[in-house]
Amino acid sequence: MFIFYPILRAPNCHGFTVVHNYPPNNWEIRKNFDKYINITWSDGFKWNTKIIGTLGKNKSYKIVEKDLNFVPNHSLALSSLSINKLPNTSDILPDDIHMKTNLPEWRATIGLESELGGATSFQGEAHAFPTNGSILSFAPFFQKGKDLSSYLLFISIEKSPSFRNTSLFFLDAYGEKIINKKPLVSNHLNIIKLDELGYKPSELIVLTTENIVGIPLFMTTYKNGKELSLEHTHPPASFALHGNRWGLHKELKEIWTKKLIHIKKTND
Amino acid sequence: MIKVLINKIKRGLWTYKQPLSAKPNNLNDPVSDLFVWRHLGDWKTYFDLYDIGSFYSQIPNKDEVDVKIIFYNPSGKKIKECIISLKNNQNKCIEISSFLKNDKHLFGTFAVFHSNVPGNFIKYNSYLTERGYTSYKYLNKQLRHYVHGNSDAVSISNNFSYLLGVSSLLRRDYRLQFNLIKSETYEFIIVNYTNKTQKVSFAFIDASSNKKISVKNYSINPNGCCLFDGKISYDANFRLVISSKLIMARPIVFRYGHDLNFFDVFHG
Repeated sequence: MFIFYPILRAPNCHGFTVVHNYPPNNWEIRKNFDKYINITWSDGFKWNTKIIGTLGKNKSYKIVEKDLNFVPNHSLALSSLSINKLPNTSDILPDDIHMKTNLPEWRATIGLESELGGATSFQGEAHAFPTNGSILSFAPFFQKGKDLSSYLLFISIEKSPSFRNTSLFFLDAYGEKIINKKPLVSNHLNIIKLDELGYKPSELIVLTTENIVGIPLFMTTYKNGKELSLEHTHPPASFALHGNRWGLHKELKEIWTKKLIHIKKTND
Repeated sequence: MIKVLINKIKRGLWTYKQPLSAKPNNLNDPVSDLFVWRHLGDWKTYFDLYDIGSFYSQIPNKDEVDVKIIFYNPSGKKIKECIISLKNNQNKCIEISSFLKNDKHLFGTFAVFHSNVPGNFIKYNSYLTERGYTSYKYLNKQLRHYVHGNSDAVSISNNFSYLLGVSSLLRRDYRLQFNLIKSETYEFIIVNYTNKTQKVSFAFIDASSNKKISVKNYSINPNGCCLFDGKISYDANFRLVISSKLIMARPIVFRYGHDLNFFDVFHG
């Protein structure tokens, strides 16, 4: 599956992504190539792609949010490196030869910077998610305090370019009540302020959706960007090692789906 | 046909009997990453602790459960262990450095073993693993900076911990896909999650010419870790390649801005 590297946005920050044209190890990729640097975004009806340059072997390139003025406001910009030219427009998310590595995956540096000096990043990658899936995520990252603001950045990428409206449920850690519910749009970077949702600092945030999959990133700023902190959650499948971990993951999701259904029935 | 066979043999040299982590001895044995602690001077380390097992039941059991934390010094020697009680589904952000007040080492590793292993894990032949979130505070910064665990490094049986990491047949390069720049400084930590002492080499490479700038070698005991904190005086951009017989020598990267205007940490 072809890899994309999102370019982030967040309040009081600028997003950046550094793409790297060298494999992450010396044994999974035998031959590398010069590549096109692409920016792909959806307008709700089709995928649009613009080549912004080429990248020689062993080189890196920093893409910054402010250089992407051709991408409409609020659209999710996805960068990629491709051996072949991607089509200017397409009905499904464009694809190319996938130079797959496993240990680790071929990653980019994805981060945020502020004019007040804060900077943060992680090594990441993203793929298109299925439209019939859901997520369950347990997040301890909520930092509360004077001059601190916390946000959830929820990245959705699907093969179809359409913008589907759906919901994200914030549950308590027992799965006994919905703390809050926020709208989500597919193929968007959805930004949700966490401070006003109703969680106490020691409470675990439980996120769940019914029909959308995405990557939840948690970002905290101090004094509007003087300091920045960013991390993603592991999917709950990573609580298990070996065996039929996907079967176990399915059972876990069924447990929490039943909990959500029960809360909804009780609230009706 | 012969070409396919040759490719399989070539790949087999890197993959045959070389999993990222071996299976623990018993299905009830919990697994943990070997996380990194830093303390003394300007450092504080935290870990977000919650009862993973409690997520796997429809009706929450509200009894307290125990979690065992074992601390090791950089040489891999066990220096302390403690038991922490957790309320079901509570998130407890514990200050790791507070357990190490009498230890003079500046950094080391720790493992987190959950006592609550639900029956669902046994049913699916899976092992419960803690790959959670360590956070660091540095100098007078206000935010905790998070980094997720990544390895299934160590397990425990009858109070006896044992490592799960496997050594590679051949030396492997881990090419950090991150641009190192002269206006920033970096520290890199590698953990040895195998039963053998590992020789690890940090090679810094000029990003334009691909030529080696400098190399530094370390020897790491099982359970231990090494910290590369040397200053690289180099005027151009450069990269890091880590060579070792670890299956994946993924470093934790500590990144400092010019004049320490920012601090960040991430998994390489």
